[in-house]
Order: sequence, then C-alpha cells, then structure tokens
Amino acid sequence: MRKFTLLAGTFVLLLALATGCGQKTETNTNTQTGDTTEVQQPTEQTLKIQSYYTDDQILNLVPKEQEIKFVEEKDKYLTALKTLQKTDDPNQIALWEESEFLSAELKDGGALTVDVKVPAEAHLGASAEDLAVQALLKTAFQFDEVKSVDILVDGQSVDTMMGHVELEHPYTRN
Amino acid sequence: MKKIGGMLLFCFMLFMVPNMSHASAGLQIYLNGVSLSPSAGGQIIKDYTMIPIRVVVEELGFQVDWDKKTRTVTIHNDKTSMTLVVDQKWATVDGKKVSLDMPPTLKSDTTLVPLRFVGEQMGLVVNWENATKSVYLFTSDYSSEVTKPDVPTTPGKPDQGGSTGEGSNNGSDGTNNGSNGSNGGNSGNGSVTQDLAEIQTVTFEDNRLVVGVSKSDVKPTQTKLSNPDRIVVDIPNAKFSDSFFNSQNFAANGQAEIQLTDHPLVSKIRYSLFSSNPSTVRIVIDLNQNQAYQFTTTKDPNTIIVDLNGGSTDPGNGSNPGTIPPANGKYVVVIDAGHGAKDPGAISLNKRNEKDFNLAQALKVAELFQNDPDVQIVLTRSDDTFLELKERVTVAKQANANLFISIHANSINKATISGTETYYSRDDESKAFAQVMHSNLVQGTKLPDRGVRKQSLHVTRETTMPACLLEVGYLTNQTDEAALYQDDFQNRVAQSIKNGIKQYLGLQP
Ligand SMILES: [Zn+2]
Repeated sequence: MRKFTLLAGTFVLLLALATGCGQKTETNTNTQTGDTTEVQQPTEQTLKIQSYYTDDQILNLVPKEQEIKFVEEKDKYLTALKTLQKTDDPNQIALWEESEFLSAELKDGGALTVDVKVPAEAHLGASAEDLAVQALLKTAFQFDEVKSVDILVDGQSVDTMMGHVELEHPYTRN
Repeated sequence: MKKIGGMLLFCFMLFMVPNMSHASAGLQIYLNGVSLSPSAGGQIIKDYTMIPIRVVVEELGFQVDWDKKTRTVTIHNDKTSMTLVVDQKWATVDGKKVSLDMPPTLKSDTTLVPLRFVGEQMGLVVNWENATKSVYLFTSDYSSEVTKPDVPTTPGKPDQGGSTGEGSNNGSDGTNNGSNGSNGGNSGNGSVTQDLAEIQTVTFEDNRLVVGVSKSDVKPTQTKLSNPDRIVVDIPNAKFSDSFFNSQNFAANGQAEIQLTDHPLVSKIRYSLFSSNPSTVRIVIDLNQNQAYQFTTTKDPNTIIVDLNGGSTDPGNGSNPGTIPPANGKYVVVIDAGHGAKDPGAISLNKRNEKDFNLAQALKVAELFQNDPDVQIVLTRSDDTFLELKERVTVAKQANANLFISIHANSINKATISGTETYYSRDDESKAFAQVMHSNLVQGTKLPDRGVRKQSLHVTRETTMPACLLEVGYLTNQTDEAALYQDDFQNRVAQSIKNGIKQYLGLQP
C-alpha cells in the first residue's frame, strides 16, 4: 500500500516534469546515476538528511541518515518529513507510519507549516505521541532556513494531535 | 500552589514578655484592636491579668457555666471546653489536666479567671504590651494579629522596657519607613547592629515557606504551637532588608502578612520585627490544622525553609506522605479518564476504543473509594464527554486535589510490545508518587513491567499536585488487549490503583 503510494507519487512527479515549460537548467551536480529512479531527471536533487525514529522500547529518538530526492526546493520539507513514515531498521519504530503528511510549506521568514492527517488508527500512546512530535520538529529544524514549525491537523490548529501532548502554535527553534 | 509572595503590613509594636509587676491601674484590654469597655474590670494579680467571668461571656463571646456550689467555671466554644475551679492550680481542657500558674480567684464576690490561660486555650492570641499596660487579644482569624512570645518568662529587664516603649511609639505609618534601619539600634544598651542578617524575601509556594536571608550564619529557632495551630519561626540578629521592606505595602498598624485563601493547610503567614534586643524577626505560619513539617536552612542561596509537605518522599515508605489532606479531612484524588467523545484515543487490534477502557477503569476506581473515610475521588469525566487537556488540569486545581492520576491504554505500531508503563513529568513528589503507583499497578495488571518513565505530558506537567499517567497496557498487543477489556482485569487494576493511592498517602489499605 505504502509502496504503491510512493510509486504513484513518482509518476506524478514525472508528469510534472514532462509538462514543465523550460525553466529547467542544468545546475544540479548532485544528480546520481544508476539509482532506483527509472528515469534520470537532471533537475532532481538528492540530499542526505537525518530522520528520527524511536527505539523498540519507545524511550528515545534515534536518528538515521536518509536520502531524499526532490526537484524544487519547496518540496524538500514534505519529502523529508515523509521519511519519518518508514524505517528499514528492525530495531527502530517509525512513529509516523500510519499518519500522513499532507503538506509542508515554508513561508517567508522561515515559518514552516506542516499539515498532517492523523487517523484514529494512527493514535499512539503518551510517550510515542511526544516522540512523534519531537521527531517531526527535529527533522524540520535541521534545515537552517526553518525558523518555526506549526503543526496543523487536517488544516486545523488544534490543541493536541493524539490527546496526551499539547501542540505549540508554532514551535520555534530552541 | 500558586506563588504568593509579599508582605502587607509591618509591625514595630514590640511585645514584651508578660511583665505584670505593676499596679493594675490603666490596664487596657483589646480584642482584635477594639478596646473592651472600661467596666470590664480586668486587674493584675501577682503578674497575671485576671478578668471576671462575665467579661468572658460578654466581651470574648465564649459560653460560661458557673457552678456556685463547687465553685467551678466551665468555659467552652464549639471547639474547646475547659473547667477551672477557684483556687485549684490545675484546669481540665478537653478532658486533659493542665496545670495553672494562677488559678481562678474570688474577689469581692466576683470570680476572676486568668486571661492569658483562658484566651489561649480558647484559641485567642494574647499579647501583653508592657509600655502601655495593655493586653491585646486576637481571634485566630483576625488579620492584624501579632504573636506573643512563645514562652512567658520573667519580667523584662529595665532596658528592654525602655526599648519597648520606644518601639511601640513607632507604630504609626509615618514612622515605620524610617524605623526599619534603626530598629535594631535603638534599644540603648549597646546591642550590636552592624551584623544583622537581612530578610530579603518571604514566599510561600508548593506548601513551602521560603525565607531568603542575606547571610548564612543565622540561627533561626522554630516552635510548633496549638490553639490555634501555628508554627513560629524566630530569626535572631535579623531585620528586614530596606528593599524588601520598601517594596511592600503595609498598613498603619504595621503588620505584615500573606493571606492564603482556600489553602488546605495554611490560613496566613505573618511577620514582624518581633524584638529589638536582640533584633529578631518573627514569622508565624497560621495553620488550619495540626501539620507535620520540615525545618531546614540552606547555604547559597541562604534560605530558611519550612516545608509543610511533610518531608519524606521515599517511594513506598507509606509514612509521612508528601501530601496533606484538605480542610474537611479527606484527601482529594482526581482520576482522569483519558480522551473521550470525539477523541477516541487509540484503537485496539479489535477496533475497540481506548476512551472506553479509560472510562470503565476510572469508574471502577471511583467505585472502590465510595464511602472511603479518607479519600474522595473526583472524576474529570464520568461519561463519554470531551475535555481539552487543560480542562483536566483545571478540574484538579479547582478540586484542590492532593493527587492526580490519568488513566490510559497504550498504542504503538509494533504488535510485539506489551506491558504496563507509568509516566510522570515533574521532578518533584510526582516521581515518588509514580513509583508507588507503578509498583502497585504492575501487580494488578500482571503484564510485563515496562517501568516508570519521565515524559513531558500536559496533564502531569501542568497540574500542581503529585501527578502520574498510567498506560495500563498495549491495545496494539494481542495479550494486553484481551486483558484490558475484561471485567476482572479492570477490577484487579482498580484495586491496585487504590492500593497505590493508600500507600502513597500512608493510609491503611
Ligand atoms: Zn491515551
């Protein structure tokens, strides 16, 4: 199911590129060859980031290096956050596995607004909820240009995502 | 508790030890600052102020029975009852024999009783002001009370008498400001003034009185007194710092106090420069009840602390809990069933809602405490309603709760994880409380013990009393889920929660 979504996402990306109107320039030197992307796109960037998960005791955040690919800079944040939904390390738990990141938009001045969808099935216990919020924030704040993060649920500014931890609107870099 | 600081009034009326070796002429008696009628007929006999029993009834408002045959006086109000017999050197107070330095006496057909003894036993504070030959009586609820010295001793020395007069003349507003700096030095007998420690702050927070002092070498003394219950702290060779003194509002009669409304333990805290020789600051905590406390001083920062939280927070020792029952004698424990209504909480393997488990479990705990003589349960919700996190905290604050317990069931996207966890957020008594609750809870759940954990959760962080959050078991684990919705599991867990509460409060199970 998750795989299917990712493939569909790639397809949309390709469509977008195909219909692009010539603003693509060959400035990107990060482009790798021979990876899993079926079609080489010169404008695609690859970036190594830290993504955050929890250990199987649900005690701490654990960082893991992940590689993200995106075409436009503005897509970087959503792409980065989506890495929180999956880890292939069996000793780690992806706290956002069953939630969705709908959008992550950086506005002038460094205010990142992240819209998430948290179905009831994705509700976590008290500590996992806290760690999930921390994982999102740490992932977002690794980008220096992000000065604050506001987490919305289905576009709404709510008190709490899962009923244990209050959300700050917005979180600022500490 | 909220931080309540500051000082309202300041008193320079220096009350000396009873010094009644003078003629009774001009004896004045004041009740809460109001002079009793001149016909009160108080007189001084052998250094003791004696008043007719008629005055006890008419002016002090106590009930008095006089048995002429046995010459027995019975004085009582709704709290205390005492019996005195003319010329008998002991009295009976609430069934206990108490020796009397000065027994009641008959004088020209009037029965006179010792004012200080009667007043204090009946809950009045009695002060003798030597300079004006006045007795000041204060009911315990009167706000401008100044305490007397703890132990009546021998009559004051002549030089003390001199400073007393001077001090009490400073009782007006206008002279208070200027007299702070000189109050230690005007006694005229060469007492040292340079090295006085300065009292810089007086605050009451989290059931702790904290007095900030400029020096570490203070030698405060403390005494616990009853009728009314109060703790008296004297700090010799000390005065109030000018900045502290000037930063506060104080009334013309010069008394300082922190009023505490609705505090379960303390009605108010009063302070004054109690004596000028040696310059002594006195702080009195007026208690609502007999209360254990810890008295400590710290260095750097230099403080004097009276901790009413009872002292020990050792987990599981059961005695001396870090919690104090409210005025009505019952501990209030808030049980918070997590989530509710539009917030189902987590969803179990078999699609059952966390909120339903939480509510059922909370109701079972409440049921076990029905008719409990010591503990009253307050539920944040007793049906499927929605409360914001901060509303749950408000419930606890408004209930003046002693303990807060939030009940939840856990969830993680890894089905093998199973067991019971207990959370706290504050490094105060909450940690010990969580440990006591957890050790009981795991006996109830019989699930794997996943320990006591610290996490910043709204309800356990923002409440002000010891608080913990129980994640009873994992809805996402097959074994745990099967247990969580079973009646006998919930009954067992309810009993273990009750045991934990009782253990922490030091109550019989
Ligand atoms: Zn919960």
